Amino acid sequence: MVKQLGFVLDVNRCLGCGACAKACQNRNQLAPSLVRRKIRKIEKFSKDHIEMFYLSTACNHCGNPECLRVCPSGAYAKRRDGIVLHLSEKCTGCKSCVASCPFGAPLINPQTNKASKCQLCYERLDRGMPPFCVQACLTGALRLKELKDIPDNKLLRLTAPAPSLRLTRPSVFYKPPRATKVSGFLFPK
Amino acid sequence: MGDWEWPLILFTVLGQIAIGIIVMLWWLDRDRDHLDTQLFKQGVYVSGGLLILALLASLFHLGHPEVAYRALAHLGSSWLSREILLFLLTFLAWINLFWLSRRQTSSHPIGADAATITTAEIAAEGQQSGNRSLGLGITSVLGLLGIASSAMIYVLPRVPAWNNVGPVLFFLLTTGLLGALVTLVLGRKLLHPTQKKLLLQCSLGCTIASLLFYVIYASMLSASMEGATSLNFLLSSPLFWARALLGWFAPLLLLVSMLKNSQVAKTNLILTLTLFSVLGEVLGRALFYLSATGIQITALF
Repeated sequence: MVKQLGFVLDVNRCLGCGACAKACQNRNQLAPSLVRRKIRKIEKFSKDHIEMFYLSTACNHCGNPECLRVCPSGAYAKRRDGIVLHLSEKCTGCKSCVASCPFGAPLINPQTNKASKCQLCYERLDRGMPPFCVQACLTGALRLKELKDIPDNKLLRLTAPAPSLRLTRPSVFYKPPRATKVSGFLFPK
Repeated sequence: MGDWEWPLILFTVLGQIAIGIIVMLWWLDRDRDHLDTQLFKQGVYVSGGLLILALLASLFHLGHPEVAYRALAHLGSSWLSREILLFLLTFLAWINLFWLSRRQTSSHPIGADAATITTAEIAAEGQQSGNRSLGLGITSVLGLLGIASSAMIYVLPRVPAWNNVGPVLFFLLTTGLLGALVTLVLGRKLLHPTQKKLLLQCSLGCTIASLLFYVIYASMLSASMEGATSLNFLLSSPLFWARALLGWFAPLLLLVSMLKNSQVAKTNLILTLTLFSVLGEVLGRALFYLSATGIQITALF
């Protein structure tokens, strides 16, 4: 049966500790320039509220991946569980995927001169184990789930301002951040 | 911002000159007996040399040039696969042109004594020019499709500066402009004045169209944040102004003065004009890659 696995991040639980990114880097033995998972600090200020949270992002294993569409050598494949795989043995290092991915997921590995991206630790998943990043998360903020089982109205889907980019249908969802009310002390009226 | 993509700059510009020459030869050959045999041979040799250089340059863009053949594996959805297939087919069509050029005997100059030409010679020449025209036509169509595929590679939703009709339009205009000018250089002693004038008019048309479309394209860029970043980069770069001077303003002045004063036969002016235009297009292509700013997702929307 066709599934779509995807990351679900509860940004209210995420501490921004970077354990997920470090685990990915260390356990996959990646070169320092090859960062497959990034942590970004997001700050949004409005008149009454402040939103501040950390966003842990990697390849979104899109439903309709741009990398798979543009790759001339067929080095990308989508598994029946939704994981977008990069097949290194077919890659020519043409950088088409690097230029086309709106999420900046594929990068060129300087050691192999080929593209490289998050493979969602598919070999571990096949053995019933979680991906390194999910295993390393201290608070359980980052999880891997079958997306069809999740009610959409409870989550935000990572998307982009351009409608054409939304068509990639990234398989990453976020629990919306709780806004903190601004106190009179910080912002006197 | 992008990088200096020299292999891609050389591949696209040299490939477009090569195909532009073939297109111009086809255009000049539309009345069959008006294309000088010597010019046909020169044009085929130069376009072939440029096409080979372009294809070699393209290999240096790959991380693994030795497995470049694998890039043909995804014709269903990848414009890069389609581009490579079409360029290889263009090269095969060029080999046919090369073979035809080796077999081609010299054409009779206009005004030759009709009594000295036998009926058999006329029939053989008719056959030759028919094959030549067909060969040029097939190579031109394949080459133009290859160039359109090249441009489609860059029509990416992620890069607003590229995600429009601009790449296709500018790649085809470069083909027309540089193809016409290099053909003019090759045929400066072989072309009729009317043919030279036609090539100059074609160059002028392409230069004006390029400038006008660039103004429209630049105004479109400011619609998005990433597009505006590309535009700011372009306008603040000295390279852009060098491109504008060499690729638009200087050629426009030269072309208008050459067409007005009927100085179409002046070799030095033709060479200067071609040099300016080639440099302008190379800088323009470099800026095309340098100014590309991709959308990066930075927050939840």
